[in-house]
Order: sequence, then structure tokens, then C-alpha cells
Amino acid sequence: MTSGGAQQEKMRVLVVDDDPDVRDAIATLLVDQGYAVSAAANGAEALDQLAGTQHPDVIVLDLMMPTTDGYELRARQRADARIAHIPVIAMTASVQLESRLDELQVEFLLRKPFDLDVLVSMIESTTARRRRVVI
Amino acid sequence: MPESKTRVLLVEDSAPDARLLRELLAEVPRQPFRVSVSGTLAEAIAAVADNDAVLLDLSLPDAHGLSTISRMVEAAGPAPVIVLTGNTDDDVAVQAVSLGADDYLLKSEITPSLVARTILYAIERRRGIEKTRQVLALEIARAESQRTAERARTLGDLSETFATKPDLDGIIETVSRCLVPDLADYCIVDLAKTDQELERARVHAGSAELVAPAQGLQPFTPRHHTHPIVRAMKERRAIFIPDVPAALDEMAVDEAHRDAVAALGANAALVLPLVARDRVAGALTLVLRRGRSLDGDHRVLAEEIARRAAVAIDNALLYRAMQRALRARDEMMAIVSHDLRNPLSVLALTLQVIRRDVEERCVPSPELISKGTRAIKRMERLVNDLLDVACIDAGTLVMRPAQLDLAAVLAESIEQNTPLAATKRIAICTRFDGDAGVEADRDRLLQAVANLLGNAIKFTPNGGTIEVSCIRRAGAVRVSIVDSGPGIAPESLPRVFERFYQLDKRREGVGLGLTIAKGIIAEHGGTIGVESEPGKGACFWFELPARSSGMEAVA
Repeated sequence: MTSGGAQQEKMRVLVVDDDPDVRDAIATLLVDQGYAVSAAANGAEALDQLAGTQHPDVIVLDLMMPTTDGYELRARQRADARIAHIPVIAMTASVQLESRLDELQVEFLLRKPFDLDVLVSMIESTTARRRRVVI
Repeated sequence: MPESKTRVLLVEDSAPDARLLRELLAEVPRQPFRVSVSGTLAEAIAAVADNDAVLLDLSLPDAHGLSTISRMVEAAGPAPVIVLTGNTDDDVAVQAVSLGADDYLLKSEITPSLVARTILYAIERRRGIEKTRQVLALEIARAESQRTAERARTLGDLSETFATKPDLDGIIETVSRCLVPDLADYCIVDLAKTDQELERARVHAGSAELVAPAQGLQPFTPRHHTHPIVRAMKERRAIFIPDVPAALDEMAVDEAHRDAVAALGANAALVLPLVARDRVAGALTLVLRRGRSLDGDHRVLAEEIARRAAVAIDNALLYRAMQRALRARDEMMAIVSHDLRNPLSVLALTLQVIRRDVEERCVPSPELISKGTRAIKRMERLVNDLLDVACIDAGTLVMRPAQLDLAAVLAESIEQNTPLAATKRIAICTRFDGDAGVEADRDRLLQAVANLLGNAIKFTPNGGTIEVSCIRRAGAVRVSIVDSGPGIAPESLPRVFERFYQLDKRREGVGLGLTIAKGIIAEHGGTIGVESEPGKGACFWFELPARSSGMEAVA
């Protein structure tokens, strides 16, 4: 198992999920993997965090949430030039296929339950691509 | 021409009399008779078939008196029987005619023309009667076939409408129009809402001036078990009320209901239960005003219409129930899968890390393991709740009722929930007043109370209070759980006990707790409810029947 690939500088991940157990589990495990993790319980909380100066390298976002849900957060994010570039990995616990997937324009869609390895490799591939662009 | 001769059978044992009559008939001008003679009644009965008329003497060797007449008349069939009598007493003649003889002749007054006229007139009268009978029979047959055709048309129309209009309102409308005004003045359709409750679906009036009394009856639903509609449904048979005014007392719920029924101006009514697939879907009542009656044929037609209506209504109800069930299933699937997938995610993630730890010979963190355990508990609770809801729906919730003190159950539940309340610094105060003895399933009651209490804790802000009271009222014990939460909006109040209804989506749970609490209380013969004003907290209450003092002594 790769361990974050963030020797020099830790990758920052924002986990957004209304379910505290899921949120905590993902956050704990990603910290284990060497990431710097922050968490938000809904879209509104996430937007508050994104309003700060230090932006995450990737957002892991649950789609079905009360108040500001994943779709709304994504729309608001894409409308804000300062944070529009941050890649998003979406998660869903819904059985139905996300019919509005097109409007999301996310890097990946994860169906719950999922393997940690899959999430990690998605984060890796997303941030690696990003880094190449930066270099 | 021999064919045109009128054939007469003379039943006469006296040879001179026979000869005399023969000669008399031979003398009739322009009217040929062919006369044959029988000396006994037995001989005459055997020979009568080919004759046009019978002349019968009443004193024969093998028969005597008036009984001779009826035997001869019966044997003669279409041929008229004319009695010959020597007696001048008119009584005998009258009796002869009353026994079926067509006419009579006094032997002493016989002349050729009289005999001939009497015979020919009797034959003509018989022909006339026969013709009338045939015409009548034909008329009756035609009327019958017309009625059959009408009935077939009505029933055919009905079947067609039922096939094209599967909705309940359409069916009730069609049935009402089929029955009223043709067969009755009003048609009332009552549907079984539940096993105990009826719903008055329609009171249809046969004419414009009857609309007002029909509307007057609409709000009343038969409730008494003595009401003919309730009885017809329970006994699954048609009930005819020959005298509605006399039956008012056993029908009316109250004065207003009585007035509404009286306003119909009803004379009689026929109640037909709507039975299909061995289920009573409701009842159809035909109301007849004074001056109208329901003959046998119309009643048969009405019963046939009721039978078909029952099948159609049953289908419509089934269809409606099926659609509702499908919707509920889809909704449940979406919610359940969502609420199972989240703890499943936690479990999958934690197990994966534990496996990695084991592979790397590290000791898995206890916190990780308790995370996984909590996820399992969450799933278990959801599955149990779903099972309980399914059992409540199916009426198969297992109950082990025992005599217990409701206040003690409350105290136990409060104790169990104290740690949870403590995390939010919520104080739970109690007020127990009077004998709280009830007969109930302890575990189920604990479950219901825990759901209500859990709900109160969930909505009460940190540092708030919850009041639990248990008060004996006449015949019932009332429990109230009052929280100091945000309260419930009026539009949400009627929905809080609905399955999957969540007052606040952010909070944990799927929205089954209150549904289950309601089901458990209902199963105990109790009632549950909620009162709230936004900003002023909510009061969830339930009442259970109090244990009677007699049983108290036993306990």
C-alpha cells in the first residue's frame, strides 16, 4: 500500500459527509495514510472552510446531505473562481444511478460502501494529474 | 264433406235417450253432426280424444253425480263439456258450470236448434278462450324477452364501464346511475374503510328534488351494529327493510341522523352487501319512496348489479392498495439502502484497516473496533425497526401482556436514557400521580417509551429539560413527555407518526421510532398523540386502558 506520497508536504483533503461515523472513519483512515484531513458535516460548513486562504488539494464529497447538498456545494464551488479548480471525488449511498451526474463534473464517483484503497488511489491519481499541470 | 261434420260424443247409458238425441241432432238444418255414444264414463274417457264436444248425462253406471263432471272435463281437454240433466233445479246447473262444464241442457226442454246452438256456442267460446290464452302467453313471452334484453343491456353497459373505468369514483357513479332512478329513488354506497369503520362513498338521488335530502344523508355513516347496513355486511346477506319509518330507531346514530333518514321520504329499502373474493367491500342500499316497490325481477337485477359492482370495487381497491404499496416499497428501498450503506461504509473501511494492521502484526486500535461495532449496532437497529414496522402493518406483532405498573416502566426507561440525556446536560423531571396499573407487554412498552423519550432528547437543546408525567384518569393512564425543543410546525403535526417522516433530516434515525411507538400503543388498545406550538416545545402523550380495580386485587 502506498502511503500518501506526501513526504515533503502533506496533501490536504476535505471530507464532507453528514453522517458523523462515515466522516470520522474516512478522516481517521486518511490521516493514517499520511494526509492532512479536515471535515465538514454539510455543504454550508464546507463552503465556510473553503472561504479561508488555505485550500484543500481535493474534496471528498457526499452527495446526499441535508441543507446544502453535494450538488449545491459543487455549483457554488464552480461559480467561485478562487476554489473552482479544486478537484472533487463524489460519494453516494443512493441505489439509483445519479441522474444528474453530468452537471456535477467531478473527477470520480464512489459508491458506498467502498474500499479505502480505491479512495486513496483516486486521491492519488487526481492530485498527481494536478501536480503535473502545476509543474 | 265428412271433415266438416261436428263430432259429438254422447255419454248416455239410457238407449232411448241416446236415440232421441241422435235423432234430434240429425234434424238440425245445414249443420251436420256425427254422434258417437258411450254408455259408461270409462268408455267415454277413452273415446273423447277425437271429438269436438261432449254431451254428458250425470247418471252413469260407473259414475254418479257431480264428480262425473270434473273427471270428464279433465279428460276432454279442449273439447267443451255440456251437461244433460233431467233435474230442473238450477243449483245443479250452476254447480256443473262451477266444476268446469261449459253449459247445461234440461232434457225436458231439448229442441234440435237448442242442442245445436248450445254445442256450437260452447265450441266457439272454447276457441275464443284458447285464442286469448295463446295471445296472452305470447305477450308474456315477449315482455319477458324484452326484460331479459334490457337486463342484459344494463349489465353489459355495466361491465363495459367497469372495464374502461377502473377507478373507484367511476365505478360508484356508474352503479348509482344503473340503479337510480330505474329501480329505486336513492342509491347509497358505503365502503368498508377498516374492519370496523365505514365510509359513506355516495348518496345518489334519482331526481332533482331528491338531491337535497340525499346530500343531507351524506355526512352520516352507519355505526350501530343493529343498523341494517352494518348487519347486511356482517351477515353477508341482503336485508330488506319493508318499513323504513318503523326502523328509524335502530338505524339512527342521533337525532340529526334520524331527521336526515326521515327526510328521504323512504318507504322501503334493500341493503345488498358488496362481497367479492370472500371479502365484504361495503354495501349498496336501494331506497324506495312511498308509492314505489321492487318486484322480484328488479330485485334479481339489483342483486346482479351489486355482485358485479363488488368485483369492480374490489379490483379498484386492490389496484389502489397495490400502487400505494409499490410507492411505499420504492420509498423504503431508497431510504433503507441509503441508511444501510453508510454504516456499511464505516464497517468496510474499519475492517480494511484492521486487516492491514493484522497483516503488519500491529495491534488494531480499540477505537477502530468500537467504530465498527457501532456501525453494526446501527444496522441492527434499522433492521429491527423495519421488522417491527412490518409486523405492526401485518398485525403480527407478538405481545406478551402482563399486569404491570406503567410508572415503573417509565422510571426504568428514564434511567436507561439518563446517560444520553447527560451528554446534553438535559434534566428529566417526573410527575407520577395515582395508580398506574395497566395490562401490557413490558418490553414493547419500554420500546415505545424509549422511542418517545429518545425523540424528546434528540430535539431538546443542550441544558434543556424534559418532563415526564404519568397520571391516572377515569379508566385510563395518561403519559405525557414534554420536551423543550423547537416545537413542531402545524403542517407537520399530522405527519409525525408517518413512517420515514423526519422532522429534522440532520438528526440521526430513519423516522420509524414514532411509527413504532404508535403501533405498539394501538396494539395495546391505547391512543397516542402530539400537541405542539412552534417555539414552545412538543408534548407527546399516550393513554392506555387502566387495569380494573377487580384485577388489581388479583394482582
